[in-house]
Amino acid sequence: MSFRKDRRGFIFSLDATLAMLIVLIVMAGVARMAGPELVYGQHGYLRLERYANDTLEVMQLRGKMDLIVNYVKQEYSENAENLTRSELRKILPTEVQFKFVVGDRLTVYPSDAADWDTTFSNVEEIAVATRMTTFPGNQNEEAFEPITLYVWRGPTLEED
Amino acid sequence: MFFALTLTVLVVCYSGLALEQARRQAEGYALRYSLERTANDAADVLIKTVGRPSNWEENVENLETLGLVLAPNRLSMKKFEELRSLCAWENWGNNPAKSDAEQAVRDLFGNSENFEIRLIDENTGEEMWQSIWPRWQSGTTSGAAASLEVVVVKRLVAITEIDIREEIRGILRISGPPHIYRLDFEVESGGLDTLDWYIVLRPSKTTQPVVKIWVNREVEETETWDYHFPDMKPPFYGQEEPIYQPIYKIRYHGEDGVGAQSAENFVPLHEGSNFIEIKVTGAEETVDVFIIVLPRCSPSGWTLLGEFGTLEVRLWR
Repeated sequence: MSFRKDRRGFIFSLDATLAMLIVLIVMAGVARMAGPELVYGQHGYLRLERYANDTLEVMQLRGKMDLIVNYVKQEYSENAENLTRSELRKILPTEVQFKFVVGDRLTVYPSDAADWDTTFSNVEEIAVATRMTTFPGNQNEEAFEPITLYVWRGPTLEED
Repeated sequence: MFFALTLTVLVVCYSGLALEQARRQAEGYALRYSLERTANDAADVLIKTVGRPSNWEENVENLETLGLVLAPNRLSMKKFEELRSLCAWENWGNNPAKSDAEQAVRDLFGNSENFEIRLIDENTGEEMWQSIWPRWQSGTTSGAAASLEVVVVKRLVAITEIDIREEIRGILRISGPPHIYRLDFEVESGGLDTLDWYIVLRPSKTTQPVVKIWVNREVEETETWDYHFPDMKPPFYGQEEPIYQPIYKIRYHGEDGVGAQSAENFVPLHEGSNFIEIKVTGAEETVDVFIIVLPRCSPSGWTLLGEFGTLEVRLWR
């Protein structure tokens, strides 16, 4: 038996390679469909959204929201910031981070670390809740301003 | 040719498998979705509505629709306790007069008894109050642990009855002569008759640091304090270890200075400005001190709840 006489083998044509590729894509798709992540992912986002809304509600009920708004109105930004931070840290679980914004007057993150803005802009899943409040505007008219709470899951950043 | 045939067979077989998987997936998803939907809706109803009638907790037999709050996200411990009592092993299914109320509870969970309602501290995961499930008994657990598919929904709530009037957190005992701390608080008009007043301590160790408290009088060198932590009284007969429960009833059910060292020295609360003085000695540990009020005749244990918690609804098949 010589090597020359034994001419059996496979020929990989371009068609066969393409067919293989399609089969692989189909198999990967089916495997992905079988995974449970989709269901849990949706549930996770729903929880984030509930965190945001419930937190603002609880802050309102405890009278802390009015206190914060009053501090902002009187331009005691540091007091407003400290109260907001301690209140939100007490209410929210430690793995949930936040950005609390009152109009363009106050922005509070969980700590004074400098990287929060970058972290915030890179977060993939953020839930938002908003309430409205009034501030003295021009000519004794009251202006409406939003109080917005953004929440997301992630580690906290330590101060520099 | 052989290779193309193999690929075709593989694709056909796999398509069948994919279809079957997709069908199962859709079915599982629908079932899970319906369970999640029920749990989410139930949690929403529990924390956003007062129930029907709104004062159902006064007579649970009248319950038509369950709701556990006095206002959205404002949990009523009274309603929570009434529901707990309705679900207790000795009550659930044993009183025909309450069968409509029981059905109202089941209806909220899709006519199912596979539910559990917990009040927890989400950061620690610990229960703040005893949980509720149909036929609960102390020392037992619900069926959630044995189920393969459990949906858990958590919602933040403020706890209505708990009113922390004043607090000092993180008093640290350091070496040297002990510091004296003062905590001022106001008693509003009528507050002595409608509320119970407590001093609650949260020490970092079971028996440390040592805390002495004087109510409405300054610290005396003679050390005739009103309250002392840990409790100086000997343990009750039969108990292996004394119970160090740092809750002091400065006015409880209309009575002043319950459990105070000396009734003669105790200066009762009065409407207007009041204060306590605190002296911390012993080991280098920390303690938080709170003045807490509850509606008159509420269970004292509620003082150990925070002002807010997480209501967790568990539902399973």
